[in-house]
Amino acid sequence: MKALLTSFDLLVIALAFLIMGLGLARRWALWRENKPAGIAGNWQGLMASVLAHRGILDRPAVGLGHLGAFWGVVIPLLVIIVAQFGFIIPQAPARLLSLIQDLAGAALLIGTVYLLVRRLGREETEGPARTLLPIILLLVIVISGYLAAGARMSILETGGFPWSSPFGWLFSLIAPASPVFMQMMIRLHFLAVLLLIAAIPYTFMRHAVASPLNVFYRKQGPRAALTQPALERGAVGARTVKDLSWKQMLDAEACVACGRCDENCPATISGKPLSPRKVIRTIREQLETVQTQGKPSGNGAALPLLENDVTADEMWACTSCMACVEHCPVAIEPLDKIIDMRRYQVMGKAHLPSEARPMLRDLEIYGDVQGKGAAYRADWAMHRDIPELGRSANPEAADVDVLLYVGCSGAFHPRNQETSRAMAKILKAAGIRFAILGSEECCCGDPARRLGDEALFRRLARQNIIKFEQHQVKKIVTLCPHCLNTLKNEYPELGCQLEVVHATEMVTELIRDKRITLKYPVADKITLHDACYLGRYNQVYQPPRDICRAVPGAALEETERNQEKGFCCGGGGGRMWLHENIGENINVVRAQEIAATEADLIGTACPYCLVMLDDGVKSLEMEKTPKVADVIDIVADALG
Amino acid sequence: MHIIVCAKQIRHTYARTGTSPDTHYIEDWDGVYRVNPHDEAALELALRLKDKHEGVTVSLLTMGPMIAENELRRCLATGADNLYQIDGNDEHNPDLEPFDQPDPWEKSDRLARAAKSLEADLVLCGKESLDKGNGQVGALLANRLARPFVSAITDLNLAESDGQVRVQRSAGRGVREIIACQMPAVFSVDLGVDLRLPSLKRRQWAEEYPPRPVERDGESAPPRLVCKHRFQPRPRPKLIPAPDSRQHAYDRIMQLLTGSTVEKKGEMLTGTPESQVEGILAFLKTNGFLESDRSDE
Repeated sequence: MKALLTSFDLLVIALAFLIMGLGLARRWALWRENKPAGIAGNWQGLMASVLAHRGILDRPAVGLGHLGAFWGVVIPLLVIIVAQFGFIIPQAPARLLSLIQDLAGAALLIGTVYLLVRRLGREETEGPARTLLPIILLLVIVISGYLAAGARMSILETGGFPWSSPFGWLFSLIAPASPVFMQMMIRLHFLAVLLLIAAIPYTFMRHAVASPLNVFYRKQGPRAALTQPALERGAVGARTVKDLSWKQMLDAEACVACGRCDENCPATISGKPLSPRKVIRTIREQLETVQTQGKPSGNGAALPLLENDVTADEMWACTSCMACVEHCPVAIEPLDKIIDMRRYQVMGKAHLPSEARPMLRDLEIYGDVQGKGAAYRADWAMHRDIPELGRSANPEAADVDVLLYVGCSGAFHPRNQETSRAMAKILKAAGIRFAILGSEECCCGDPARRLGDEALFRRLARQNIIKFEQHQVKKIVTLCPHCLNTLKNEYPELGCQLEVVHATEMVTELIRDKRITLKYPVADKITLHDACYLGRYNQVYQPPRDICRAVPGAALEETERNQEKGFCCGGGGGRMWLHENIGENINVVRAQEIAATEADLIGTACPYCLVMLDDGVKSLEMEKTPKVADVIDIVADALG
Repeated sequence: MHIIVCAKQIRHTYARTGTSPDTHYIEDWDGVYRVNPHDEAALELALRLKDKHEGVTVSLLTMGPMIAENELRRCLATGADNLYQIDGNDEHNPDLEPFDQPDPWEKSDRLARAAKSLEADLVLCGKESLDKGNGQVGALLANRLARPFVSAITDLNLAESDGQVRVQRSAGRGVREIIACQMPAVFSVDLGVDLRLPSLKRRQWAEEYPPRPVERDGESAPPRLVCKHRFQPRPRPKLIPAPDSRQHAYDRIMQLLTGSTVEKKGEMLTGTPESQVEGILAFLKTNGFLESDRSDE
């Protein structure tokens, strides 16, 4: 900590930074290949995430430990760098600075020891061995620093308790008053710091560089958006790591395997082999293999295949609920990688779980998931005086404010048809001029996209977009959150910018504007299940709650996991059409949790959730099975 | 070995939602254009044989205009090598004007000439088509080519020992038969196996593939069967959302009060059988179902 550095010291410092730089540069070369030009960064998010540890602090104990370690490294580092300039500082601020540094060191010590103890206690094989080296280095740094400071204080024999460095004083009690010992400690401290710096790209400390970078380059636009493969140029998803985009590679580098994704993943919790953390770790390991193979070449024949390490059971277990993305403190998205792997399976290799094949075939031929056909699409509206844009020759009927996009479930599933009728009734009661597309509507394409058939998704989307343009649709209200997400966030990629709202948003507005009044009680105690595609994807948490509160005489009881932490019903991501053979059924897990609230009515806002939860609560065989209803149904019931 | 799979493009009409009797209550959106599913099953059997044995070429053979082009190209993309088309220039709509379709006699003649010119070792076709359901073409084709014929097969294998094919067919009520058949042969295929999924690369190749025309040599056999009338089924009575009798009484009443527009008018007739008969007659007369009181006179 002397202001003067010898030339040898400088040489060593330079060496350390050179090693670090080389390591990072090699990584960077790998990412850069797929990096698009002119990508925007996000300073605000970076600051919040790095300085205030937003996200990391979601787990208080570990978060605080990490916070201590982080500031315990950054503050002394800054102080030492400043000290090299040899400013003359008056006594009082110098004392304060010393105190801050001392406390920062203590924070680092406490944080590191806590993190170390946590690791030693773990049975897991994943974390400890890998992360031990940097943590021990950190411990050596902080202890040697304190010992050096303590030795100095012993030599100087200041006497009494020094307020400027309380922890240094503690160490002075055990440190011998020998200048040689002090010099040794300073050397050790110095060496350990340089080792740590040099080790950044090669150990798990690389997260100190990669994670902030990843937060900085956080994906802009719609949440958890999938990648858009250039199908025309023969891109069919991710076969090897080389098919991933640079951001996806950065994602993998930024992962420290903290496991928050696993803790929230419905597939992991219900005993499926999928672990989002393992997916990301696999990608990182394969990246490492690619890097050690030397200059990455274009052919990719020798590259390890992603499917070797991420099995079919894993990649098809994902419900695309976005919980992993939501809970990652450093903005890693396992979701888009899983979908990319599915794409390669479906479009590249033409492999698809056999139970989902009929559904995709129905989508291809009939344009809906049930294979009933467009001619029957408006049957739910029969004799109900609901204007259809498609068939009516009457130009007045075509002049409407809003298009009700019913979706396949709302049009064909008997349970969800009720919801469609309820919505029509509400819109009529509120006097809104609306229409449906009728037989001209086709599936929004969400099931195809989540199952990896991007080509089919685009075909269906284009069919819909043509119809929207043909009828000059300005505003769309959807009944299904999956349609909402697709129409609102994914159609703009295909050149269709429209105002799209979910039915709950619209109904909340109608209630607020007093265009409809809820008069009749429907249940005493309502609980809500958050649909992933409504909540996490589109941040619509409040409207369903507002609606439930507006129902007279009903108390709203929240489930244990709600809103951002909401647990999936198990029906998303194409899982609705896949068998659930391994582990528990996700919908039953969720149903048990909901049943614990002892509500007599379960509200949800998604046709998939409705069906899955209905199955779930029925399979519990409770004495009094709670009713599952769409929030829209509840409103229509309360309208009278 | 050259396998020819006959693929018929059909318009599959699954609904009748129209209002005009002239079109038999059929509207554009009431049907989809697709390849006959039996033919798709035949293609899958051919592709499985191709997977197992070297030197197998699978060609699709279709007749008439490309009404289900997308679906046919999808079939091509699943693994067929060629696509041949007979009489591509005829313009007709096989669903609305069914008389335009050639009869099985004529069809089998054209297919047989094509199969001969393409030197097929094995001809597979669907057991029947979804739109006509004659189920004759396979047998007639075998007759014209003078080859053995097995109908409604569900599996197809090549026996290494004698070079013959082993086909499996269902003889009904769960009875299965394994039949050894000499090559060359003609089989018609029943539903059973699903056509595989094509990869995107193959799809893109199939999109660009120009169908290869098969020239007609000489006049084809004149039709021997002529369909004189074709009766479309009456449109099914429309689904009227009536109160669900399984529901609770309260829910049923609520359903009637809200939304549902079902109205059952009428009165219950009581009294002696004679008075009830008079009541029915009065009802029929007032509503114009009976013209006058002539029966009384």
